Amino acid sequence: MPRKRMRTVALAVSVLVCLIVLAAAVYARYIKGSNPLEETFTPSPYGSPSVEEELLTDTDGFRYKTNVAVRADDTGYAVYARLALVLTWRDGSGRVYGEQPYPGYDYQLEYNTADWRYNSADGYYYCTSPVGSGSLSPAFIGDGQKLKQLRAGPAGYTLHAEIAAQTIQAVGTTDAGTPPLPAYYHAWGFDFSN
Amino acid sequence: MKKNGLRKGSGESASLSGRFFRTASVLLLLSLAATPFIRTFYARYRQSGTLDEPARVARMAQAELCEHRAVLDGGRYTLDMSTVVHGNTYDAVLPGTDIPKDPYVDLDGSNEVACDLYIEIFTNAPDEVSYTVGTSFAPTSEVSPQHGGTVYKYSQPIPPNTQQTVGYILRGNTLTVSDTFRDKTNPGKNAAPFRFDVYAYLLQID
Repeated sequence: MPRKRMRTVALAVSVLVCLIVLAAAVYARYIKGSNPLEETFTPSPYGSPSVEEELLTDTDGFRYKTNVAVRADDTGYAVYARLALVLTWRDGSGRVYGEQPYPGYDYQLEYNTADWRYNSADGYYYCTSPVGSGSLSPAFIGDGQKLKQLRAGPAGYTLHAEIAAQTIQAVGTTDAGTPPLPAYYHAWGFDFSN
Repeated sequence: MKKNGLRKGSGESASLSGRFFRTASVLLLLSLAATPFIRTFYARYRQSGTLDEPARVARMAQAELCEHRAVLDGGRYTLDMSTVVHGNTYDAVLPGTDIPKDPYVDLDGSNEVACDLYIEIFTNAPDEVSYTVGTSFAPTSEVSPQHGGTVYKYSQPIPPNTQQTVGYILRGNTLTVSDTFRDKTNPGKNAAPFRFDVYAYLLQID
């Protein structure tokens, strides 16, 4: 008797499973997928611009800089550039003299006013056109122009002219604002395009 | 009792048990094998009203996910509408910019049954990168995500044998990058790449 019952149970379970599979077959639906579109987005790196220049000696014995321009870092995006001039009298040990050199008296600056604008509010010189990734800006001090010492400084001191460059992405705007501000204006507060 | 000179014993019982299990196994295998054919019969019967062709699996349309090539120019991306690709690489994501991206689904119209179109979007982009799914798509739980994303259902069913292109998966075909995406005082903020994946599915309608 137990064997007969076991067979009956086995058969009943098989029939039940078959019915469930058939029911699932009736209601199962076919699904098909497409090719995937899987992409990676990489944030742009920060750039480190550099200044390219020539340091020469004039006929009067004083040295001068010429052919000065900003080299944008190779980041993949264009940038706007600005320069700061830092002029000091320094001795052989690097100590800075207490008085600043005076423009037009201690030194003379000739620069490319067609492509660079001076902002007296912050003392920076702004390049008015974008500089391509890895490219050189229009010359700040062009060929034939000079940043030149005019007279001897205090005894034991020589004129030091450091040119520091900064860059910022040329594209992009703020989220807010009507209209939104260009990135350079938002960061530097100077609209050199006007 | 005796039967044909043999006593009915354990040997014959074991043979009968084995026969039942074999029968049950065969029934089960036949049921599994009949699944696609039964479904096909069911679908075709409902569709045509008669069974005039041999049973086979109903043909589904070929769904192809495409987009136009993204071109980087000076830090700004634009779409080259003359070139269709199956994926772009965005190597220069800048704060305060919009990234054009126009995924769309091409259906070749070979589907013999009506279908629903589903889109799954998976992304691990930071909060400073935003997007909105097109108005023709709505979130749904009818299909489980296959890639850990969110599934959206297209509002219009795809009729049988209908070739069409379903676009505007992203509203405005754009990803928007906030001006706070990066922070120069915190160089590590959002410095890592992120993914944006799109998948499409067709599901036959009952």
